Amino acid sequence: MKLSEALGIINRSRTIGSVQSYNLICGFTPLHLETYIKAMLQMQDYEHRVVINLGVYGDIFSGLNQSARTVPTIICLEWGDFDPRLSWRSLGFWSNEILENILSTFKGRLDRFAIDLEKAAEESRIIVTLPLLPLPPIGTNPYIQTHPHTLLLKGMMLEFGARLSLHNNVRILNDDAIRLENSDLDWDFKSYLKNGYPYTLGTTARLATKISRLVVERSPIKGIITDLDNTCWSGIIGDDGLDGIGWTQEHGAHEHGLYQAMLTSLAQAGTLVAIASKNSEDTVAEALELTSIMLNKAQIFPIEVNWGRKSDSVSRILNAWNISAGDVLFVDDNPLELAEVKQAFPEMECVRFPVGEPNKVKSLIVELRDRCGKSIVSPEDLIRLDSIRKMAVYNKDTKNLTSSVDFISTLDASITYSISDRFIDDRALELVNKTNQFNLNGKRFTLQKWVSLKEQADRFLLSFEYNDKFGALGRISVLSGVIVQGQLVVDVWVMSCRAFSRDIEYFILSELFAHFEVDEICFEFLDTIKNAPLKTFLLTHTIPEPIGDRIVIAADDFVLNCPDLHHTSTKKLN
Amino acid sequence: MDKQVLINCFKLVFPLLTDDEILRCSTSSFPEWDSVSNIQLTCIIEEECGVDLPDDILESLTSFDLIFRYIRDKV
Repeated sequence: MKLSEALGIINRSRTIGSVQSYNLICGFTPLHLETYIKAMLQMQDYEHRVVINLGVYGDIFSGLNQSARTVPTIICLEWGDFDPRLSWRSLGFWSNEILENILSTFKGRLDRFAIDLEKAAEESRIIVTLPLLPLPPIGTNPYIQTHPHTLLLKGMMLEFGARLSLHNNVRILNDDAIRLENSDLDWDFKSYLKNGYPYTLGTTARLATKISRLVVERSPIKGIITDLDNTCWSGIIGDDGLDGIGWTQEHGAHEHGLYQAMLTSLAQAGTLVAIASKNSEDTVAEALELTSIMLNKAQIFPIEVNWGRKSDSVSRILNAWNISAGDVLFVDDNPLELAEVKQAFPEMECVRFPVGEPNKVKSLIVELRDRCGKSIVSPEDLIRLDSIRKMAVYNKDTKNLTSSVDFISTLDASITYSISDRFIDDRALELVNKTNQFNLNGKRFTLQKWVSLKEQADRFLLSFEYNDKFGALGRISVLSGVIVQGQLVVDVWVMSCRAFSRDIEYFILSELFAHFEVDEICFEFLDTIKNAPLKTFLLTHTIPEPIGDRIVIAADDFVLNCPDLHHTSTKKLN
Repeated sequence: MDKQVLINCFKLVFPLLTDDEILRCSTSSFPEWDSVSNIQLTCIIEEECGVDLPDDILESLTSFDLIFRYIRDKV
C-alpha cells in the first residue's frame, strides 16, 4: 500500500462519528507507522473512525503507564528503549568497559517493563513488536562475528517476549511473518537520524499489516478437507502402488510430508481435518496404516474415499461436522475437482495444492498455520473431534427412533453451569462470535466491548457445559442480560449447534426462571438470516405475539410447553 | 506537470483545505504545515510525482507555488 492510499483511507473516514481508539507506544517518532496502522485498522472497521492515541515521545514506560487501559495497545520496541547506548540515534560509548553495565541496565529496565506490561494486559489486548533494527556494533570483534554481549542482549529480549507471550491478552508479532515475503527488513538510517523514524515505507506497510492482523484477530478456519494423491503424498496410489507414493526426502517429496505434519498439528489443536479422495478404500486404508506416514488417522474424520463426485464427499463431511462451507478450506491438486467443489459450494475456499513447486508448498503450509491457528486452544477445541464422532453415532442411533424424547431420557446427561460477572473469558466470547443458528440477535463483540459489559449495573453472565454418555461437549451455551426495573432482559444467547436435540435450551430457560425468580423473561431478538432454530424455539413459547424485536416468555406459558427434563445439573459460582 | 496532481498530494496531508487555499498555502501562513506533516508531504510528492526532493532543496520549498515550480522545471 502506498502512503497516498493510506492517507486516502484515513481521510475518507473523517465523517464517521463513532470512534474506536487504540494506543500506539514507541520510543521513536511514530510518523508513517501511525498512518499505516490507522489505515489498516480503518479498512477493517466501517462503523468507527479509528483514532490512534500516541504515547510520550521517547519514553515507553510513561507511554504505557499513562495510556488508556480500556483500549487495545500496540507497543513497538527498539533496543534504545531500554538503554540509549543501544540506539544508533544516541551518542554513547561502545567500549568493552561499559558492556557489562549495558547488560545490567538493559536487564533491569526490561524486567520492569515486563511487570508494567503484564499489569496493563489484565485490562486490554496488548500487541508487541520486538526490536527490528540491528544492534549497534558493540564489542571488539569483527562485525561479521557476533559478540557474546550481543547474543546475551538478544537472549534477554527473547526471554522477555516468551514470558509475555504466555499472557492470554498479549500477542507478540512473529517477525518471521514479515520476513517471509521479503527477507530484507529495510531501515532508513538517514530518516532515523533526521526525523526519528527508522523504517522504510515498504517495511512500515508490511509491519502495519501484520500488526493490524494481531489487533483485529480474524476467526480461524474451522476445517480442512484434503485430497490425497499428489497432495498428501506425491504420486497416485491407484497407479503407482504403495511403493510409488512418497512424502520423504528419499522420494524427493519432503514437502508433502511437511504438509501432512501441518495437518496433524492443526488437528491436535482442534482444527477439523477430513479426507476426500477418489480412490479405493482398501488401498488408502493400507497407506494410512504405514508407520512412516505423518497423518494421524485417529485425528481425521470423516475419511471419504470413493469414486463418486468430490462435492458429494464434501457435502457428507460438512454434514458430519455441522459447520458452514464458508468456514472450510478444500485443498486438492486437481483444478477440475477444485472447480467442481467450488461450483457446489461457492462460499468454500478451494485451494490448489502446488504439486512440484516446493516453495509454494512451503507458503501454503505457513498460510494454513496462519489461517487455522488459534492464540488460545480451549478445552472445547481438544474434544471437538471426539464429540463430532460421537454425534455421528448419536445421529445414527436416533435416526429410526420414533420418540426422541424417550431417547433423551437415556442419555445420562449432565449440565454444569456458572453465573458470574467474569467477562475476561475467551471461550465465551469465541462462542458468541462464531455461533449463527442458535443466536439471539447475531451481535458480535470485540474483546473490549465484551469486557465493558461487566461495567453495566445488574449485568449477569451464564455459561453452560454439557456431558452425556456419548461424551463431553464442553462449553456449549452462553447467555447474558441485565435486570431492568425488576424485569429480566436477555440480550445475548448462543448455543453451539452440536448441542441441539438434547433439550438443553429448555433446561436453560427453566434455570433462568428458577434462579432469578421472575414471572417473565424478555429476549432482545433480531431475525438474522441464520437464526431460525432459535426463533422457532422462542416463538413456541411466547403468547401473545412478539412486539417488534422483543419476545417475552411468561413462566406459566413456558411450563405448559416444557418437556420433562432429565438432565442432572451442577451450579458453579464464580 | 499537472498542477492538480500536486494539489491532490496536498489534499491527502491537509484534507480540510480547499483547492484555492492549497494554491496559496505556505509554511508561514498555515500552522498545520509543520515538520511532521512536511515529511509526509515530501514522501507523498515523491511517490505520486516520481521526483526526488533532496534535503538541501527541501528547506527552500516552503510554499505550494515554490514546490510546483521546482517539480515543473525538474520534470
